[in-house]
Amino acid sequence: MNLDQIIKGCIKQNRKSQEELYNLYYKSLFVISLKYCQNDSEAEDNLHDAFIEIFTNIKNFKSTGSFEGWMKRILINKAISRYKKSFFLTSIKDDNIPEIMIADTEMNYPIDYLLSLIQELPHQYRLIFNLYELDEYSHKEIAEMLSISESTSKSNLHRAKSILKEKITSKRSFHNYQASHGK
Amino acid sequence: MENKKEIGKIFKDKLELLDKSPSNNLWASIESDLNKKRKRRLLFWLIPSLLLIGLASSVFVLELKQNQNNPLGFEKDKTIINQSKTTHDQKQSLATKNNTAQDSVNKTSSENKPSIKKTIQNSSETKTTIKKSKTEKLIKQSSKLVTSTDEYEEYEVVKKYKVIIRKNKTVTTSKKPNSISEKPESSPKKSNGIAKKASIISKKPRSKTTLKNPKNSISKNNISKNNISKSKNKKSTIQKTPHDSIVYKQNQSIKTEDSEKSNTKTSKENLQDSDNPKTIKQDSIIPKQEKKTTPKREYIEREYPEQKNEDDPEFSVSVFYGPAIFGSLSGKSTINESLDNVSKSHPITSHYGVYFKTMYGKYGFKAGFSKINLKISNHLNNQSPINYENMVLTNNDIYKVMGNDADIRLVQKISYYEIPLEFNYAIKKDETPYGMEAFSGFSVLFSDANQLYLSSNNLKTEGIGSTKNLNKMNLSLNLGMGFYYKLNEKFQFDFNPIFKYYLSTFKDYSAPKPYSLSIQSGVTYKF
Repeated sequence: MNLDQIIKGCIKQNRKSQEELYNLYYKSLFVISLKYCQNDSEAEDNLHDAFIEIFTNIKNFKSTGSFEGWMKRILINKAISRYKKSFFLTSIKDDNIPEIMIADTEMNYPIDYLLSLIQELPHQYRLIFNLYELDEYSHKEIAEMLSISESTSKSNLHRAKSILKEKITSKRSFHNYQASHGK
Repeated sequence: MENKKEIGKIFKDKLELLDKSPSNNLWASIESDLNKKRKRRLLFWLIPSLLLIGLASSVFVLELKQNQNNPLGFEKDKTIINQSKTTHDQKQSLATKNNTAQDSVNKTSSENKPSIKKTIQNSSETKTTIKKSKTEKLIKQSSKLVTSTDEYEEYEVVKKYKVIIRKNKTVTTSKKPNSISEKPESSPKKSNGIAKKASIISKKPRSKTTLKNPKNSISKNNISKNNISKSKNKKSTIQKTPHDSIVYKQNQSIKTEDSEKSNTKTSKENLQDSDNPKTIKQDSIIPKQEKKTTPKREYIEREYPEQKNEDDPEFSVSVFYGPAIFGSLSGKSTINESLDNVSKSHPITSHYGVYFKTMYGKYGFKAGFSKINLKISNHLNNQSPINYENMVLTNNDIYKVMGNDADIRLVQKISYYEIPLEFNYAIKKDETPYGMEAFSGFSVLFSDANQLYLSSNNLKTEGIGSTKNLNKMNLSLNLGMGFYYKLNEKFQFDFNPIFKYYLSTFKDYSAPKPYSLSIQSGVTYKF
């Protein structure tokens, strides 16, 4: 069964096709979900919600675009609606926000630790950092998605990066992580 | 000097290597929620279907009762019974010859000779006879004789039931040629999600092998693994099974993605819709570590929050009470023609009841039970000539009851128990607390009260009898608007003006075209 056939099966609410689609994408979508959510459990819940919506609304998918892009948007929108209520956004008027640089050697940490640093960010910072840096949305798009201004998006991104750098340069943060994970 | 990079870029590069899987029971919970949704959809259609069946059967029963009360109909039925009985006798004793004229007619009719079927009655008799004989045949085949007299034979009927259990379609792994499991082809298939989960949780050695089939977890992944390794050596064998083709495409897409990366194609571009209208972009977010086998997913019962989707049917129950007025569109009297030109008024009465509503997006059904009281008042004076046609009077002389009152009102009161079935369309349904709907449908009405009384300033009310031209059962076409204000997630205020046009209020009297206007004002509770 190719992807077209699977999609057609899913439109007919065929359970086998739905399972095929799930098996095909659950890992990749879970990884995205992990970056947008606070922990594994919330990422799983988010993925669950996203798949339900995907199967319910698959009839609305227009085959003119990328299917996984469509699914990814659903997943990201689910995460946004999950955390949007608890936003406390700050805005800096200065548009000349400096870039935050870091040496490659300073980033020699396990991948799980790097993920945990992102997950520990406050919701608004985490979402904006993910949207801008990892999924390459523009500030204009982010502003529309989160119903905020572009300058708010920029300032929150800068704040997110500052927090990340602070934690990376602080060895204590990594020791705490190791202690809490028994490593 | 150290080589510094922008922090966001470093995170992106590092996290691209992230490889994690959700817990093994995620698909089970998704499947369970999908099943619930399916049930809700079924329920959404089940309610109006059952109501329609109920209404249709009640109409049928009422008509049957009316026919039984009709003397002509009774005669006809009697004839049919006699005929079928004689036909039965004929079949039982073919040797004995019955020479009566009646029997000869029956005999010919049972033989379906067209010359005999001259009238409608004859054709219906033939039908009944056939049905009867079929029933007898059935009884004799599946029953045993208990007692036998000259007139009757008593049989003990033994009913047999055939039970068909539909097997779930999702289990097909056993057909895969490359499956590594050594299960027999006739391995048990899951009957439903719950049973499947239960058997998985129990983890009995016997059921463990069975479980590989329903979920395809191990066998599928192993197939994928096998196929990937095969794809390196033998490409011709890859497309043997449908599943193989997926894996093959995955490999292709990963390769393409790598080449695309070199051409600085971003993942964002992948998200945006392609200009090519007919092709679906291949997966760019499929895990790169495709050689890794997906771990076996074991299903453990876990509670997930129930999903509320916009497409889920909404169920609600409403109670209402409101005013109603009754009138005639043609302006004619609802009692008899002599009152056509008498001035009329429309006293305000009541309409109250309960209804259940299911909404699926913007569309929905509404059904309920209510009572509607209707009144129409005819203004009389001592000079008004009155014809007593259609009236069954307990006081024979209206004028005597009226006395010297100048303005007497002859009031007709009709009340019905109503079962409405209406189709709803949400005109305005959004986040705001206000909403608007339009609805249309019909009601089956069962007569409760049929009264005539006189009233005046001096004479409060004096019952004088009833009308005899009212049908026991009536039908109405309904058209209305619904306005509501949401108090919170669960409750809302309703204000629904309705116009009803009554179709079969009177027997053999079609001059008045009765209607009512009423308002359903009340509260709705959403489940």
